[in-house]
Amino acid sequence: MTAEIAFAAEHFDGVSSTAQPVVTVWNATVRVLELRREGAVRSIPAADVRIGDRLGGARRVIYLADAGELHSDDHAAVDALASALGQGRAAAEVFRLESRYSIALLALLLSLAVAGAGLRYGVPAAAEHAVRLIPPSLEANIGARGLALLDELAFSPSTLPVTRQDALRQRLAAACRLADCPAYRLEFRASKRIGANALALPGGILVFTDGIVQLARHDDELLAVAAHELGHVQYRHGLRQALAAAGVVLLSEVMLGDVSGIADLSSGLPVVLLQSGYTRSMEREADAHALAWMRAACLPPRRFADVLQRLDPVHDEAKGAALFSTHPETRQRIKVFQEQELVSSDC
Amino acid sequence: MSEQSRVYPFQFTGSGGEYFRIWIVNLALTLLTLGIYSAWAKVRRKRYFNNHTLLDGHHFDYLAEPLAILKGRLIAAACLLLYVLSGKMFPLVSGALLLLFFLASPWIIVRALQFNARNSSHRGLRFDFKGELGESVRIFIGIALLASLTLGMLLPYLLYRKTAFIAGHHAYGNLDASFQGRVWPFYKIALISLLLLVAPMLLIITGVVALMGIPSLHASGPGAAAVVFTYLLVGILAFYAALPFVAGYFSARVAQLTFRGTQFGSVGFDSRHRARSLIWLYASNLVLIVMTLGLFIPWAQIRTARYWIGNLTVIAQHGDLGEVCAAAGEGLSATGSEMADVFDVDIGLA
Repeated sequence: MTAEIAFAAEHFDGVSSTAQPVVTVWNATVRVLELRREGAVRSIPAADVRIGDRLGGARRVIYLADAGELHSDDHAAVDALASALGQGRAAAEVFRLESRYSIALLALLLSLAVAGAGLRYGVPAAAEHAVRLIPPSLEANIGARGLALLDELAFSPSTLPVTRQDALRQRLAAACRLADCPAYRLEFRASKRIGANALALPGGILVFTDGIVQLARHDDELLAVAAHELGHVQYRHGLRQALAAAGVVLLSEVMLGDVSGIADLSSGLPVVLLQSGYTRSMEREADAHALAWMRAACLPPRRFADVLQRLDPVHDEAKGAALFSTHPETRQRIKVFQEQELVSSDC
Repeated sequence: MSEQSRVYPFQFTGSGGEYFRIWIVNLALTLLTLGIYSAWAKVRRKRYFNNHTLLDGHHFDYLAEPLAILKGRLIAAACLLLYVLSGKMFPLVSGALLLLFFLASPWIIVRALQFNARNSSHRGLRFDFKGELGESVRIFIGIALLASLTLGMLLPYLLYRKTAFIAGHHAYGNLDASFQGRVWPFYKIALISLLLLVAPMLLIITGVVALMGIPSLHASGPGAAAVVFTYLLVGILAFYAALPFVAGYFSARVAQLTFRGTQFGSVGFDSRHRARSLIWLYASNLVLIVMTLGLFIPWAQIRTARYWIGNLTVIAQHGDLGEVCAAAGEGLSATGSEMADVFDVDIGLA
């Protein structure tokens, strides 16, 4: 037999809230907890005894179902009672973790690492899986609404001749016969606000601005741009980005929800910072798609480098703002396409 | 106060170092379990603060089941996800969700107060919240809408009604709370706060005008624009400089009104919270949190709890608090644990 478990406690019977001093004794043979006071003994069956978790230096509480609760400072005895009852093993582990500064330091480092990895890799990966749950019809619907909204806010009808628009559509359709294309629709719009640009909306709507059509010196350059945008369509980047943004909000809620206070101040910031990070990796993905697609369609990859270079006029400057500019990234992108052979050898 | 009345101070015995370790282990386990542990973390956090709050040598307790909190959090997370996603794709839907949330808020508020009260106990007796949904709707939708329609004229009245609703409908055992505060003091606090906010702006702008002259409305050109801009900038700076002071004054006075107006039978409260101490507390916490990149948060929470709890006292008008508490349990069936089974979802507001 193990040593007897006995300790002093205060008993609150749950009806009258006056404290009654008792001596608590664990009777291991009949498995009851005896509350002894002035000769009287009250027996509580083991099934009715629940040991409260230990938490810092706070007094210990033992819940006795209908018989109220016991408060005690004798942690050692209460711990012994808990193990006699086979309770609170997980809680004891948590208490051990909470008791040491070395563990606290470890937990701090771990938190930083997990949070960092979660934001960097976990959220985009989760978004990539989640996007498969969204049916293409819904995605197309979202894209059409997006275009309607942009038509109202930023776009006006294209001033390009219809013949020119149709010629470009036919060029792209011809290329799509050589290289695989996801379902798409090519639209032309004029826009002062976004200038020379192209974008892909969810569901496969590609929008070329008049600016980018005029900027291009060769139709192949526009096909190269289309190849890049088709990459965004192929990998459903628009939706993935929306999902990732939602994931960042959720993750910061999980992390800072219990921390609160500064959560409100800071929650907007990481979303913006991470958004640009996710965007960059999606651009790389779209570039890789463009490269493979252009090879398959027998287009010289240089064309993409040419149009990027022209889109980015400060590219070969030395204006000294290198620290804040995104240009080294662009220069890198251009280089990748310049280093390719002219046309794939199968053509 | 009669001669027999006795004063019982509240004590807070938590320590920053101890809570820091609990806080960081909570955070790490929450991250490792993809947020699941956050429900257990909340129980440990609430229990830590309640268990270290002593009245007459006896602590408070928090009895919520982590699973109930987990359910509530999952619902809240789903709502948040829906809201964030729809905001990106269908602005109209997210607007409708926001409206829905506004309409549901009186119910959510009552349920959250109930959950918290019924899971808080002292000397083995649970608290309760008995505010009714109808009144909650009148306050959080009716008066709240009226207050915005009247350009804030009714805001102090709204605050008064909120305080009366929350403070006046708690119960301890069979002892119901009542709130006896009046409206006028809330208006006084609001007016003084407004004055404290506006006066430095006026004063500083007057000073600048005295130094730089009145901007002429007839004059044009960049010079005049620059002068007007300077006045605006100075005014805005004065506003932000006054803000923490006004916040400290406001929360200290509202706390005094709330606690001094609340009675549990013959048991009342006194609050010795002072504006300047609160201003110092909040300002120093903010600076230290920023300087330590957030690591100071647990210490800040402990300091804040120690200040709020340590400056609160209970006044038992007819002598012994223990007797009052004992009477609060009379006629109750058991610990009231059956209630927790029916209302077992924490909406996750706090």
